[in-house]
Amino acid sequence: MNAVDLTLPMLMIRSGAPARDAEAANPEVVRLVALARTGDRAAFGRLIEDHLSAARRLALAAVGQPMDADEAVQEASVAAWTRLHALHDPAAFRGWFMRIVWRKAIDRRRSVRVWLERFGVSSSDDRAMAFAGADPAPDAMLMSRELELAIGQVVRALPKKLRDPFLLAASGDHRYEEIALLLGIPLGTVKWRISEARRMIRTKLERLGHGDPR
Amino acid sequence: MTPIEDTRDHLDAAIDAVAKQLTRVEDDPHLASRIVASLPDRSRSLFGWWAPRLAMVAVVMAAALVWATRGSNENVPTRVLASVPIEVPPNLPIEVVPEVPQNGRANDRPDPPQNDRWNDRWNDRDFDHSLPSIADVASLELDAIAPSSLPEDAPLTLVPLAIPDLPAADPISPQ
Repeated sequence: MNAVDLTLPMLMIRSGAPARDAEAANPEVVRLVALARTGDRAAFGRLIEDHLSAARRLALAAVGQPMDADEAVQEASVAAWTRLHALHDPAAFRGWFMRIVWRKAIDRRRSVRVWLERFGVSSSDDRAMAFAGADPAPDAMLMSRELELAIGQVVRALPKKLRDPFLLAASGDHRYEEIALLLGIPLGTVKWRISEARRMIRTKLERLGHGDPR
Repeated sequence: MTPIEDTRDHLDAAIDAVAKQLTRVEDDPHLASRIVASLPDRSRSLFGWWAPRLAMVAVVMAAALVWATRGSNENVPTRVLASVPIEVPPNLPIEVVPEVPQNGRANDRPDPPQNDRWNDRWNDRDFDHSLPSIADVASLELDAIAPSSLPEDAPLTLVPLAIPDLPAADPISPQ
């Protein structure tokens, strides 16, 4: 078994983000949406800027590449701008915008996969390496590079049905209820898939020699 | 905490850290401004939003119209034949010319059948002992049914066609 020198505190994946309800009822969001509906680009820019980080993390969870994620967010922003009249409840802008971002990211993921398959590139391997080769987070600096790469590859190799809710929960931006709405699945299914994803990751890591073999 | 539990906790922590890292994005202060700069004009974008829908509706309506028109064309002959009486203009000149074959005589010999079994019989026929030829059918007299000779108010009737009796066949010789 490889030696794993981890002194991290237990960093459990949070199932929710603080102040989400407060943001949904934020009168400033309602005001900005009303202004944006009249064609105020600056107001719409404020709305996008307030949700940009969460939107980019959401798209990154789907496509795996920061450049693809940013392009998905940009497409989603244009779509939101053109369809803003279809938003019935201005206070629900965040969830509405995130759903558009998710759909755009999924569309991009499908098109990228088709493109890679057409040109004979293995999408699962190469893009997984790009994911795992990203700059390590400060918290991850203390773990071995080998374990970090192994976890990244195992996570990217998960079935999309398990990987998507797992990464969305890991981003810390979305509650389980929001993940269920984004994915269009019941809340219980979201919880089960996240738990199953963690179980599969652990099992594969233990087979690779990381962790405790049971 | 036992060593095994400690290892499991560390592994969970590592999984959480890497999972969070996989969704970590670098700050891009110019991305929002780039997005705003790329927004299309609202009026044009509204048209662009509705144009595909309008095009789809138009295509569906055109297809439905074509389908309905094709169905009505199929039903028209049946309805006309069943309900509308045939009206013949009283003074319409009609000249019926009997069809004359190119060799100048009526084609009194039927075409050989296409079936192979009947072809064999046709090729084996005996013309020396066959029945005499049938006399030509008397030509039709169409003057009686010409529109000019018909009464205007009386119903259209046709004189029964008279066909002379066919000659009886000679008894077949034993040969």
